[in-house]
Parts: sequence; structure tokens; C-alpha cells
Amino acid sequence: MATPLLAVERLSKSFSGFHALQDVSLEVGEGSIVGLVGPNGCGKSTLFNCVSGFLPFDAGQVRFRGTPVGGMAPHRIARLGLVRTFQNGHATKRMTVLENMLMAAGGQTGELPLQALLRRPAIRMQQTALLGRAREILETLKLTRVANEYAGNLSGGQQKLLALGRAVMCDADLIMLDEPAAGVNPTLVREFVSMVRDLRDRSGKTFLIIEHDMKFISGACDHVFVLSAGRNLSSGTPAQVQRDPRVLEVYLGKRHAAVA
Amino acid sequence: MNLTQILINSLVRASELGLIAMGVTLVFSLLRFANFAHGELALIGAYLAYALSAAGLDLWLAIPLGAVATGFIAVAIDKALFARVRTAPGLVLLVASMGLSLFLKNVVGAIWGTKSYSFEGSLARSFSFAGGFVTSTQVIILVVSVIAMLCFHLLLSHTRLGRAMRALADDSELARARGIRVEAIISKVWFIVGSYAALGGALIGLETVISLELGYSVILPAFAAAVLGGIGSVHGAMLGALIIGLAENIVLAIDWSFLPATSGPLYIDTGYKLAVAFLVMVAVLILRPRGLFQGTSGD
Amino acid sequence: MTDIVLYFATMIGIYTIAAIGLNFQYGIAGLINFGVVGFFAIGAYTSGLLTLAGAPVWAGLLAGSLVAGMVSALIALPTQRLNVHYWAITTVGLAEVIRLILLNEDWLTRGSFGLVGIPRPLDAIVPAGYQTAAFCALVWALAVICYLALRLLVSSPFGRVLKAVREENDLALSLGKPVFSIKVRALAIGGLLIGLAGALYAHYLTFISPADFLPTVTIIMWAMVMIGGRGNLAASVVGVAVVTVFLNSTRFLKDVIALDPQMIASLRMVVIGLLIMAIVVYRPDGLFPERKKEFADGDTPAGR
Ligand SMILES: Nc1ncnc2c1ncn2[C@@H]1O[C@H](COP(=O)(O)OP(=O)(O)O)[C@@H](O)[C@H]1O
Ligand SMILES: [Mg+2]
Repeated sequence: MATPLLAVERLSKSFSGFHALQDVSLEVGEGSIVGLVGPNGCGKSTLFNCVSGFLPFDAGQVRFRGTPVGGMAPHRIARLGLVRTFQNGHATKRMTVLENMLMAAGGQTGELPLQALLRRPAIRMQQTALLGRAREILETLKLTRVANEYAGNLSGGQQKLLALGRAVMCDADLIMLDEPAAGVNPTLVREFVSMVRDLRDRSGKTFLIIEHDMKFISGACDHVFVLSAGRNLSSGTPAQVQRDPRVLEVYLGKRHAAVA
Repeated sequence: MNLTQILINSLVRASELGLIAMGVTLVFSLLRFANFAHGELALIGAYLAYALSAAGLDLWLAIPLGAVATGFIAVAIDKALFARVRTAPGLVLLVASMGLSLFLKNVVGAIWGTKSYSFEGSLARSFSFAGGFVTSTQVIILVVSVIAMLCFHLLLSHTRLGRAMRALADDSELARARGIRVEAIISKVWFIVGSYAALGGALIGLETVISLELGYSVILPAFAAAVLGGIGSVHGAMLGALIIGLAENIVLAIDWSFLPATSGPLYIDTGYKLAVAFLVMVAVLILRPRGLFQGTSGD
Repeated sequence: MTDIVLYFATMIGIYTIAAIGLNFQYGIAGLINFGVVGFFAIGAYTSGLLTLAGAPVWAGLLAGSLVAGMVSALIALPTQRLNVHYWAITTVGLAEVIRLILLNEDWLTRGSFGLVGIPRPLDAIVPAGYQTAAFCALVWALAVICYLALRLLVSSPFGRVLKAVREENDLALSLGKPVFSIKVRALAIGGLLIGLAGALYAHYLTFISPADFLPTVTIIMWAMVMIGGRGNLAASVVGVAVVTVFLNSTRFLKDVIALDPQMIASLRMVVIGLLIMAIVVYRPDGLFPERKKEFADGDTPAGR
């Protein structure tokens, strides 16, 4: 079998004695759309943080295209082609949507000060091309109308779209989305799902998506991993997982608690 | 200088500094910004105490009255400035406090001028003690400071206000949700913090002189003490003050000629006293970014 | 009369260079440098000492700028590990240590006596009577060059990354931007300008001492930047002009109002402090906020 694009191997992480992740393993094959679900506080975002280098982990390993990335700085991991988004927006108050998109592109000439001063013609050419690409992506994300707005002024849903746009602009191979549908209206959620599938089908992007919305998961994902209290609970196709009694217990248990 | 003397001087310094550093750490943990104007509260306290005593009041009354007045001034400052930018990013509050420190210092300067003052009748007698000298003023400073710190400790651990303050420092959202009246608590904290800083300032003035530089000269050591103790920990800040006091006195008392490539006795110029606290702080920040005693006390 | 105008013009030019350097650090990159005066002092003393030892003035200016830039890059080191508040405190402390060194290392800096007789450039080649004007022109030429260079940087991909770091540090990291080395560069560039301004200050006044580099100077420069507008480089010149004119004009107030000059000096600073607080509360983006970068169809991003 080919090496998966992303392999998380028995990952463990604790916060001063509290085990947020214990022996968590999962694989994401190239070109797949994989869901990561689980009750609030079960460690999904923590897993993202460990995988993307924002948090050091205690044990286990993370491999991207077979290369171990544990201990690597976040920006280096991103440059390998693994880009994550954040659960809480990270909206830039004083940068427009287009500026966000242009900033996200990797390997730009002129990201160093001396280049910026001396290599004007090269920069100009590259930037023109990038601007064209940014506009195209914004078009598919239906963000053209707000291209010149400050990103901080967008609605929550638009910010999630922008985060996706930045990841695409950054030429990520694996895009990890943290709750992209939270607080987004249902129509937009359906569009979001089709955009994600489109990006996979046309550009060969791979996705790992944290989501609570089961419609999103069933609509978008080929495969789902379920975490509970920092451990692997179940995995399979969305349909399989939804029928798994262990998963039902975790979720229905919660629902009963919510009713009571 | 002998060891006893170093210990005495360090303890006195720590007594003064602790009263100020404790406020720095409280403001930081409750309001999430470093208040650069905190030294000016000490300055105001010293000048008010001086003015009251010059007006004929006994020192025993002038200093506490000055401290109480400074407490009210601190509350007023919060209402007029910080409360208006409560939700702004921390950096903005930092800049505001920088402006505030310039403002306060020069209001004092406009009223009292640039010359320095010393308290009337604070002619201290000195005793020899275990091979060192202590002045009666130093004894008073120590006693007053220890009493003040004990009072604060009791307040923090045994009163409703203390519990509310701790809840607020832990999680202001949660505290709000539990019905703690946040703004009222913040005002009380400013009062305490302002009067403690003022007390510290007045004690410094009692030992040395009162000048316009008092606030600025104390803010870096106070920050250093607060950082050393792990920001947010009041007891840590007091311990931090002790360490800073010791460091300042020891570093300047050491003959560094044991270092290679030196000839003859080598003392560090007392002009660098202010730098000592800063360098100790930087070293600690780099080695232990969260302070020396993180997680020691419950505050 | 021309003398006074030239004095103001030169001082405003010098402070503008420092202010845009600080505005670049704070307004564009979001880094709080509360030790500005330290870098200003480094520039002044480096250039002053070198030229007094016989180096040509251009070499002094260059060295002053470079040394300040390097020390500035050094203060970026702890940005990795410290939160912004601690870091701001360390910059204050650094400036203070620099001042203490100037004050105490007499063998090098002549302590509180300061440096006297620092040469003015151009005095040898410009005929008498035009020398102050020539110096003013030199200052403004340098100011314009600095401004244009910074503007190029701000509108470049580098500038965009700086803004991203300012807005959301982690976002920039997540998109593969080397945030730390970017901060080092931003601080160094600001430091180059602040150091250059300090060097020009030394050559203009021809006499400097540690008393020129009190912490108040830092706060005054912050007032200039805050009044003009954070992130708006061109607006800094407005802030500089307002503050410089205000600070100097009140010197003449003593002829009008019967107040002790010491009192007037304090009241001046009271006003500056009030201004900073008012700006923070009522106009946190300054009189002229950073302009939004809008792209019309067919625009090129790196265009001017
Ligand atoms: N930096 C941190 N320090 C301490 N505890 C944390 C930290 N980050 C997350 N946690 C804890 O780890 C658990 C998992 O959090 P998280 O990964 O955010 O959950 P979720 O699955 O909802 O994304 C939670 O109990 C949270 O409180
Ligand atoms: Mg989460």
C-alpha cells in the first residue's frame, strides 16, 4: 500500500497531567476527504495543533508523506504542504480579503526586505499572476464582492471560506479545516461541501476536516475518525460510523444529558 | 560590606519593592496589561505624604492618609482611562499607561517642582546589629511593610473580596457568569493597589529622598520582581522583591576581581544598580519564561 | 527668523526619520518598542565618537545607523519566548541600560559631560551662512529616501507578511511564513532609521550627553507616531510637526505668562501625556489612520 499523505501514529499529549490525547492514530490518504468528529473537548483541535507543529506532543509521531514532522516549527510544516485553519477565525482586522489571499501564497519574491527593494520587476510580474489567481479562487468561493473589505468585517461563514481560500492560495496539499461549518447558515454549508469536493476532484487536494454537522460529514467525507476523551473510538465510512453503537452511545448519551 | 549588612539592606529594599510589585502583578493578572504608570502611583504617595507632613501632620498619619488618597486617585484613573478601553487589545493599554506615566509624573512636577524633598524629623538613629547597622527608619519600614503584606494575605485568603479577585484572575468570563460584579471588584483592586504602591513610595522617601525620579526608578525593579515571582502570583511578587533586593545588594558588594583578566579589586559601579534588576529579570525570562515559582501559591 | 524656521525644519526632519522607523515597527509589524531612545542614543554616540576620532561624517552616520540596527535585531531574540508585555518591559530596560552605560563608562563616553564639538557635515564645503540650510537639506533628503524605501517595503510582499504578523501571528505561521526572522528584520529596519536619526541629531547639535536620552524621549516619539496614525508612515510627519512645534513654542510662553519655566516644562509633558491617552481612547488609529489597500480590476499588487 502506498504511504498515506498524513499518518498520525499513537500520538499522546497531556496538559499538566490532563491527558488530552492518548495513543491516537489516524491516516489520511492522498486525494481523500477525511472527517474527524467527537464530542466537544475530546481533543480534536489539540490534534490539529500537534500535527501542524503549534503544540509539541509527548509521544508518538506524525508523518507527512512519510517524513516525520514532530518537533518541526509550524511554518516549516506548512511549507511541506500541510496547512491548517483555526477554529476561531483569526480574522485580520486591518487586512483586506485580497491582501489575505496574496499574503498566503508561498515562495514569493520580495518576502525579504532586500529583494523587495531591488527586484521590483520580478515582483511585479509575479504579483500580477498571483492577483489573477487570487481573484479566481475568490470567485469560486463567492467572495469577489467582498474582495476589498477588511477580513475582520466579514460574516463568520465568509471568514471560514476565506480561510479555505488562503489554504488553497498557499498551495497546500493537505488542508486541515477546524469546524468550517460552525455558525454558517445551511445553504452556505451545502455550497461549502461542494467546494471542498470540487477542490479534491479538480485540483487533487486532500482534506482532514473537524466537524460537528453530520450533514457536512456525510455529504463531504469518504472516511471518518471518531475521537472520544482523547482516544480513538471508531472509524469507517460516514454511514458505518453513524451506525456504530459506541458512537451512538457517546452522542446519544450527550443528547439525553442535554434533554435532562 | 558584610553579610549582615547586605541582608539588612536587601530586606529593606524588598519591603519597599514588594508593596509596589504586588500591584503590578495584580493589575496584570486581572486586567491583562503591564501598567507602566504604576511607579507614578508610588511617586504620588510619597509626595502626598510629604505634603501632609509638611502641613504639620504627624508622619504616622501623613503616610497612611497619603496612601488612602492615592488609592482613590488610582480608582479615578481607572474610571477615566482604563475603563474606557477595557476590551481593547493589551498593546493599546500598554501604550495608554505609558502616556499616563508621563502625565502623572509631570503633574507632580508642576505642583512640587523638580527639587527633592525629605521628610521632616526623620533623623534616624542607627543601631548596630549582628555586625551591621540598622537605622530606626529601616526598622519602621520593615515592620510597616510586613504588616501591610500580612493584611493583604489575609484579605486574599479569607474574605469574599479576595475570593472574587482570585476568581476574576482565573477566568473573568466565568466570574461574570457566576454573578461577580466585575467592575466593582476592579475598583476595589485599584484602590488597594494604589494605596499599597503609595505606601511603598512613601517608605522609599522615608529612607532616602523624594524626587520626581522615584516612580521611574522603581518601576523596572518592580516589574522584575513581579516577573520573577511569576506574573499573577502576589506571594511570588513578594519573594521576587526579596530576590531583586538581594541581587542588587550582592552584585554591587562583590569584588569581581576573581574573574580572569582583571587587575586589582573590581566593583561594579553603583550607577548600574537599576540595571541589575533588569538583567536578573531578563535572565529569568529567558531561562524560565513563566517565572521562578509558577504554581506555588493559589492566587 | 530664518534661523528658527530652519531649526524647526531640521528637528522635524530628524524626528520624522525616527518616527517612521518606530511606526514601521509598531504600526506595520505590531512590535512594541518602548526603548526607542536607546537606539537613538546608540546612533548618536556611535557617530559622535567615530567622527570625533577622525572618521568622516558619512561613515559616522552609516555606522550609527548600522549599530542601532544590529542591537535592534538582537532585541528580537526574546520575542519568541516572551509575551508582548514582558517584551515591552525588556525594551524599556534595555534603553535604561544603554543610558547607564553612557553615564558610567567615562573612558568611552565621557560620562555626564557628554561629547562636545561633534563635527557638522558639509561645513567644509558649504560657504558660511548657508551651512544650517545645507544641513537641513541633507536631513530632509535622507528623510525622503527613508520614507520612500519604507513605502516600497510596506507595499511589497514583505510588508504584507509584516501586517499578517501584526494582525495574527499564528495565522502567518500556519501559512508558512517564518515569523521570527520577519520580526528580526522589521526591528532591524526600524532600528536603522532610529539610529540614523540619532546620528543626525548628534551632528546637528554638535553636543550630546546622557541627559538628551532620558526615557521621556521615548514617550515623546510614541506620541508623534500615535498622533499621526499607526501604520500610516506619511502621517508621522504630522505627528512630529505637531509635537515639535508644541514643545518648542511653549518655550516662548514664559515671556507671555508669568510662570516658572520649570513649571512650563512640566505642563508641556502633562499635555503630551494627555494627548497620548486621548488618542488611545478616542482615536486609536491616530489623526490619519492607515489607508486600506484596495485593488481595482487590472491593478498590479506591488504597484504604487
Ligand atoms: N493549551 C491548553 N492548555 C490546557 N488545556 C488545554 C489546552 N488546549 C486544550 N486543552 C484541553 O484539552 C481538551 C481538548 O481540547 P480541544 O482539543 O480544544 O477539544 P475539541 O475536541 O473540542 O477541539 C479540553 O479539555 C481543553 O480544555
Ligand atoms: Mg476544537
